[in-house]
Amino acid sequence: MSTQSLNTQCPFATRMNAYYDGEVSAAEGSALAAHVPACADCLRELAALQRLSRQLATAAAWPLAGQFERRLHAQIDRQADTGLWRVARGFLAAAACLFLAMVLWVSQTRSMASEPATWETAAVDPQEASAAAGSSDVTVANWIVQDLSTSRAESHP
Amino acid sequence: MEPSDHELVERAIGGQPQAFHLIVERHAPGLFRLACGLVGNRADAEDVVQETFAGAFAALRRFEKRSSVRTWLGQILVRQAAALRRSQRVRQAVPLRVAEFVEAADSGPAEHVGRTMDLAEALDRLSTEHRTVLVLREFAQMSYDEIAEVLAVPRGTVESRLHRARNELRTLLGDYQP
Repeated sequence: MSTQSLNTQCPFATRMNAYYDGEVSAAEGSALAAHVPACADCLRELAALQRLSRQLATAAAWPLAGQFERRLHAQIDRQADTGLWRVARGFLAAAACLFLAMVLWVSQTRSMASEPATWETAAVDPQEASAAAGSSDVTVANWIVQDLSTSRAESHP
Repeated sequence: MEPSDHELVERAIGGQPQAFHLIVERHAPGLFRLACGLVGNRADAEDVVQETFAGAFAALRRFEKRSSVRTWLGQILVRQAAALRRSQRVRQAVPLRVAEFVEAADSGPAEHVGRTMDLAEALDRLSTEHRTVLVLREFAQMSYDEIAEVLAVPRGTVESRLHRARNELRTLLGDYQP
C-alpha cells in the first residue's frame, strides 16, 4: 500500500502516530520534539494526521436524539422493575414455604402435646385400653396393670 | 462532589437503579458516536447502544472493577456492533447509509459534504479490525491502553493496527503525497 508514512525516508516517521496521539514515553517525546521541527517528512506526516483527525471529528458529530435517550432510561426502568419483581417473587415464595413449614410443625407439636400416648391412657384407664385393643402400646400397658395387680395381691393376701 | 462511575455501579448493584441512569447520561453520547462510527447509521447505532446498556445493567454484578466503566461499556458495544455487522452480512449487507453520515456532519459547503461522503465510504471499506481501532481512537478518544483493554489485544497491536488503519484510510481518501 502506498502511503505517505511508508514513502518517507525518515526513520522516525513510523513513530509519528504514537507521537501525535501523545502515546510515547517522556524520553522518546523529548527526542521527537527535538527532531520534528527540522524534518520535512515528519512535519508532513503530522499535518496529514491532524487533517485526518479533523475530518473524522466532523464525521463523529452525531448528536444523541432526546427521544432515544428517553427510550434508554425507560428500558433501564423496565429492567429494574423486572429485577425487583423477580427478587420480590423469590422472597414471597421463601416466606410462603417458611409459613407452611411452621404451620405443619405447630400443628404436629400441638397434637403430640394434647394427646397422651396410648400406653399412658391404657395404664390409667383399662376400659379405654380394651376399646383400643390391638395396639402394642395397649398390650404393654395391660401387662403393666396385670403385673401391678398381681404383686399387690401377693403382698396383701 | 459527583460520584465516580464505580460508586454508581456499586449503588446500582445495591438496589438503586437510578444510579445506573446517571451512568447512561454520562456515557450514552460517547457510546452513540462510537456505535455510529462502527455501524454507520443512526438506527443500527441506537440498537447497538440500547443492547449495550441492557447487557451492562443485566451483568452489573459481573463487572470487575479492574477496568473503567467506560472501557467495560466499550467492550460490550464493540461486541454488539460486530455481531450486528455479522448478521447484516448474513442478510446480504445493509450498506452504510452515507446520507445519514453527511446529515450528522455540520452542514457546510458542497466540498465539505463531498469529503464527508468520501470519508463515510472509506470507513466502511476498512476491515473491521482497522475501523474499530480507528473509531475507538478518533471517535471515542480512547488511549492505546484503553483500546487494548477493549479489544483484548496487546498495546503494541493497537499501535500497529492504528498506524495501518490511518494509512489505509488516507490512501482511500487520496490524502497522501508520494
